[in-house]
Amino acid sequence: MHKLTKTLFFLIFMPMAAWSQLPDDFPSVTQADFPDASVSSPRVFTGSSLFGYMNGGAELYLEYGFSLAAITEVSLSGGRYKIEVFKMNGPEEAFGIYSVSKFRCLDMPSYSGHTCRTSYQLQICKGQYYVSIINSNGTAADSTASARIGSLVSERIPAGELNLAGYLPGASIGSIKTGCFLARGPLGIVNGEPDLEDCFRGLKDFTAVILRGEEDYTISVKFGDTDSMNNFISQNNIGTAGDQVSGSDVNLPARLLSENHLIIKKHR
Amino acid sequence: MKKAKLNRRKFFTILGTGSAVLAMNPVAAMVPVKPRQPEKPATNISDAQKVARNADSMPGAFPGKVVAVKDLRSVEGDVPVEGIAYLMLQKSMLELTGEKKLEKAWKKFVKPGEKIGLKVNPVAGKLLSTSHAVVQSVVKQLTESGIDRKDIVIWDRRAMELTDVGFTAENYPGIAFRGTECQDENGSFIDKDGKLYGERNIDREWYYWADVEGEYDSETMPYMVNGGKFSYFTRIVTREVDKIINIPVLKNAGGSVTNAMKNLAFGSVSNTGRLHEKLWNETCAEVCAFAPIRDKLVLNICDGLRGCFNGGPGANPQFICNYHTMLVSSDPVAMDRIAYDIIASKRIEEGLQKVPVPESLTFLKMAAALGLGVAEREQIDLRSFNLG
Repeated sequence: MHKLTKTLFFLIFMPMAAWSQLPDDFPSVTQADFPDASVSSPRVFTGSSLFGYMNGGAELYLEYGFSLAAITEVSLSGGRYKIEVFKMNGPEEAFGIYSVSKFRCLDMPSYSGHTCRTSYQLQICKGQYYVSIINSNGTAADSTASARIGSLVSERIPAGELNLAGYLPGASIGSIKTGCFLARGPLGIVNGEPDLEDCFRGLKDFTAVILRGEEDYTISVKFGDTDSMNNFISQNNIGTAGDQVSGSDVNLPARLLSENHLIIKKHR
Repeated sequence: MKKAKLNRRKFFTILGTGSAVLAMNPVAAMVPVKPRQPEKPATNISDAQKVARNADSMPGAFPGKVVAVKDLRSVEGDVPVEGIAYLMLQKSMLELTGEKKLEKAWKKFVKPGEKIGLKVNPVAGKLLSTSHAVVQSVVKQLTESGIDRKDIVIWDRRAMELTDVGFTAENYPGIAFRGTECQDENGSFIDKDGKLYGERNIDREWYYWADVEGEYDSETMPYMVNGGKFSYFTRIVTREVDKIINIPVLKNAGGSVTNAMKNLAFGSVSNTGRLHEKLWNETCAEVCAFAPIRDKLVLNICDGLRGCFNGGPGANPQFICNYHTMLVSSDPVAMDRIAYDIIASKRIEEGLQKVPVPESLTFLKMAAALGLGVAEREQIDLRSFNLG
């Protein structure tokens, strides 16, 4: 880029970058919400600028499809809380990042369809938003304050449609909430269930919803096109002609749910 | 249910037997093929090998030797304890070098008058940064060994992240702090001439070229410094420090490990966003093969007092754990291989994977092939100690 053009570019656009504003309807918290607390101005990241917040960790969010994040810090009643609100490209993307980020939830508060509380973190998935509230000390008081913040943020998020029943017909809502994750690429698979990495190696353009059962995985994969699906099928030797497979339950092909949408089971 | 043999083909079962679905099943004619390996973009790794190695070049004074010290007292209430970290570091240094006196041990790596750069890792913020317990212990032992505080620099890619986690003059009087990407007092990344401050901190004479274009919007550019196919080394490593002491945090990256090599490679060059997807392994290995890192890195001290076993390199609290461990080695490749075992063991314990898969550590194999260290577990001389 010519030097003058480059200089003009930065003079015009960089100030916008440094002081990005949140849309008015973005579900964040402000000082007005907590007059008794100290609330920082949000740090805002859009698209690939998420690298600026979390370096390589951004790859996972970008793989799912990320739009905008606001990071706010709140000091409230002696506790410190980092509130991360990620607007993903849709409800599936939000559930995806939530599903591979939660782990051993102590309980699932009812702010939205999908929540997970641990001592140090409250995670919420609602509509196209994934919210993480991290506290410093892991105390009961921190959980109470996190709940207050989480409830407030959640109220500001319009409910979105997330219908995983289409991926897992017959599966209970409870099993989906506790044992299911959604992946859109290799990073999602590795973070959700690394033992399945080989099954998806080299594949792109898919949405996989995977339910962990006690003895097996139910793997429901919607592909962007038939070629991708056929690659998956051939890579995993699913139901190939002449398949010599032992066991009464394994010698049948996978089931097609719809065009380019396959569902299979795999022993854990 | 009858158990199928451990064969991928035999693992797959069906959910249903709908005849209509079976009739349209497109599978039967498929011929199994191996997963396609995407073609790797070219890099300028051959340039790295044109510069002759010196006596300090990686893997340094003790190739393949790693000291692991564990002490359950090293974390209290999820906060690392400096006094214990000091003892762990002392034990590690003496065992690594075979010296009886700590000063002599340190002087195997650094000398008074040299500029010593401490490469920390604050990227996950206060939750999981290189701990002050470990960094303060390093600074203390360096000064006790005759290194002047004014010759110590704590550095990373982003100056603001250093400040955020407490690498400040207030906490480290007399020590310097440097970051490639930085803002002014008003929070702006650009100077009065419209240039990124970061541009002043890159050295265009040293670069890692890869045939992948870095294209960033205006909001991302301050964190990348430049786009295009060149990743320039920071002047911190090319011109400002004489020796590098690498102090990463014990973290996973998916089923792999992000520790010594990753901390150095991605922390030392610009325009990294383009490298994650297609060249993560290559970057971790190849950037470290260039002289500014290869010939200046003398010591690696892995802060495993606290670390994570999933969700890395970010910090999700539920995946953070107390490993109570410190690893010390001049060989970052060997150290990463041992770090992998610790993380894999924890992941298995937590039910995140069934068995270790060290074969997946591609970047370590590449680094070993470049002569940067020892990657094969059976060739690593691991000395383990429990202090408490």
